[in-house]
Amino acid sequence: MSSTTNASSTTRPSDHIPPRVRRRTSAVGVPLAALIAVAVLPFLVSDSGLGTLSYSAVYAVAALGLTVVVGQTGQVSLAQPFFIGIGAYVAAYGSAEVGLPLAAAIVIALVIGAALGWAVGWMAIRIGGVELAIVTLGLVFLGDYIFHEWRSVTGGEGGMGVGELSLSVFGFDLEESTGFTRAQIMFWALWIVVAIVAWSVHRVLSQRPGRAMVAVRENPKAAEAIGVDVRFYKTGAFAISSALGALAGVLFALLQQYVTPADFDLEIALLLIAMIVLGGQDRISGAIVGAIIVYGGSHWLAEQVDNPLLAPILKSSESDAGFISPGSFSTLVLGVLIVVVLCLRPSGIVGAVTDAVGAVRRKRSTSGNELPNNDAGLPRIPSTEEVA
Amino acid sequence: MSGSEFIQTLLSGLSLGGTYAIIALGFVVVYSATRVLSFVQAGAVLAGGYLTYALGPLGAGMPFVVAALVSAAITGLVLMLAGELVVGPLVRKGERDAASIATIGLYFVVVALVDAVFGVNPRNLGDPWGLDTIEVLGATVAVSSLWKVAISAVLAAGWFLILQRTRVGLGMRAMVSDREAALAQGVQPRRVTAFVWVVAGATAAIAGTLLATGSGGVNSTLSTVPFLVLPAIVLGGLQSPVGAVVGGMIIGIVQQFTALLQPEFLPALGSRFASIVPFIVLLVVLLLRPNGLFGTRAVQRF
Repeated sequence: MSSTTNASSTTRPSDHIPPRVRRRTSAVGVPLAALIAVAVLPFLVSDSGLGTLSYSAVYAVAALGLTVVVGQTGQVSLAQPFFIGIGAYVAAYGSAEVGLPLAAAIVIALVIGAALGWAVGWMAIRIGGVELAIVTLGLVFLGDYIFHEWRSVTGGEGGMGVGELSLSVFGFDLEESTGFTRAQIMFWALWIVVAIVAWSVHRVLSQRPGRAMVAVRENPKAAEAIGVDVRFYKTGAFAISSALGALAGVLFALLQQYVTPADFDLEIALLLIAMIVLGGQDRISGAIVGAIIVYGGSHWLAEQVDNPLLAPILKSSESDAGFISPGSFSTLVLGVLIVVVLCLRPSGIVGAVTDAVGAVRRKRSTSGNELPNNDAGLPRIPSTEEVA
Repeated sequence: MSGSEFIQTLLSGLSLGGTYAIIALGFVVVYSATRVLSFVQAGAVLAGGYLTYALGPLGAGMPFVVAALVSAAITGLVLMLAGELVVGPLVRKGERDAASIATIGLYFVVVALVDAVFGVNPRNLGDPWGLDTIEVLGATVAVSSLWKVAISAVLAAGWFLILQRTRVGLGMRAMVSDREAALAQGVQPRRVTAFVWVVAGATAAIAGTLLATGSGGVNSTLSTVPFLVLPAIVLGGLQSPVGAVVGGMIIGIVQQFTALLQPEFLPALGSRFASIVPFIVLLVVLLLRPNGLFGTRAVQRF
């Protein structure tokens, strides 16, 4: 990611910008710190911790896609697991049965995801709001059905192993030639993908398409009146979002090496929404922070059976004396976290942090003419000390 | 499909659809009062089933009917607390999307607590309706189905009595048709919403109990059912109680007939096909009638 300095300072009448849209706080500092964190973490964190963070990266890509639709155009889509699943099965089937290389799997997944997303966006032109959320929820169940029943391609309920997708760049096998472990390489590779995706989304959204999408969200009729092609941007937002979902699916298959229908169910849809809302749905960093907190945090909690503080509450088996199983405990904490964050700060955690930083700096500039996604790139990774 | 099979399937469809209708009514009435799609209804269905088990003959020993009613009362009150403490303030701040997501958080809390208390093993509510069958128009049908249809009908009728004949119901209908005018006329939205939360929670709990009796059993899939009922509320139009009942009925009946006919005629579609039927019905209806069946919803132009 070469440039996170937001050069395209756009001129918009500031009274159109909702209050939650904040000015850029640190366009260079935060991404730089995040990059350094990504570079050094694999030397500090155990392989299982890196695995958790790698899964967080996969969900961050999917959540970034969701941000484009939910945060930018204001449409609620629950369909993302459907697209993640498609990407994952493209990678699994392609590598195991056809012998596709990774790059080809990524391209095919992006194309299929974008095409299907375009179709969903076409639906979103007609119906919106709660109805759209419910129809897109239908896609999750449809995907669940297809992944279960189309056994020749998906392997049915038992799932399907991923074939040989070697981690190589220009025929140069990274794992063999560098001496790093697979977990380290996956961590770097996936977070570099997150950085590239975040930067690309930032570039798209900070220019005309992004402004058009915000206009569509705030007032579609006014947007249409000033010449924004509302249909085009709505369907386009869904296409981008779904393509990123499918990309996340390929990465998921690459990381997990095995895909089952249960990886793309209703719970993932709700978790993805929780990620972008907890992080802050109208900013790019929100999706990433949300993915780390929701996936990384709950995974970390679920592993704390031996933690001296939590051991009395948690039970490792049905016969154990504890009160609650680790998995349920992390679900409980996540639920409480969602409720508390939303009640205190509907703008999400990143919004709260940004506000706090702004309050400390005490220099509210009047140039509030930035787009919401102004701190693109990787945020500080809050849960790393805990994971270590 | 013989005539008696038709009647049996129709009745089991009515019994399932009746339960769906009750759940759909809860969604619709809460949505009407708060403009929030409340995912915590799914938690109420789950909690209702488990509470009835915990209090009932196999748990604390209450008679089944008492256990079901107490479970409904507890669920209703807890849901009201959650609604007033979490959803209400967010709605008053104008953060409806956030409120809807917060109900997902509440749903997670309910699911986690149920799992903490009862564990993963499914429980059995037994057969409170008995296993008797009777002849209806030449077909042998289970008495339990008739009971479920009757209870759903009574609950739905109760909802409509409340909506049409009480002051709270009048206030709610006024709020649906014109919120500001209703406020100006002295409707107290907080009283209305508190009442709606209680009734929605209580009826969802009874729906959970109904789903869990007989072969269903009390298990974690109870919380998935309300998500499959969501198409019903779009079918009917989001703010239409009549639509919710009709939508729930249609989906229940279509689902049961699919379960009967599809393995015979289209076995290639597999055993899970019945579970996505609600959404297929929804898509077909939206293609033919974008307003929903009873829609007051304006189709958007873009």
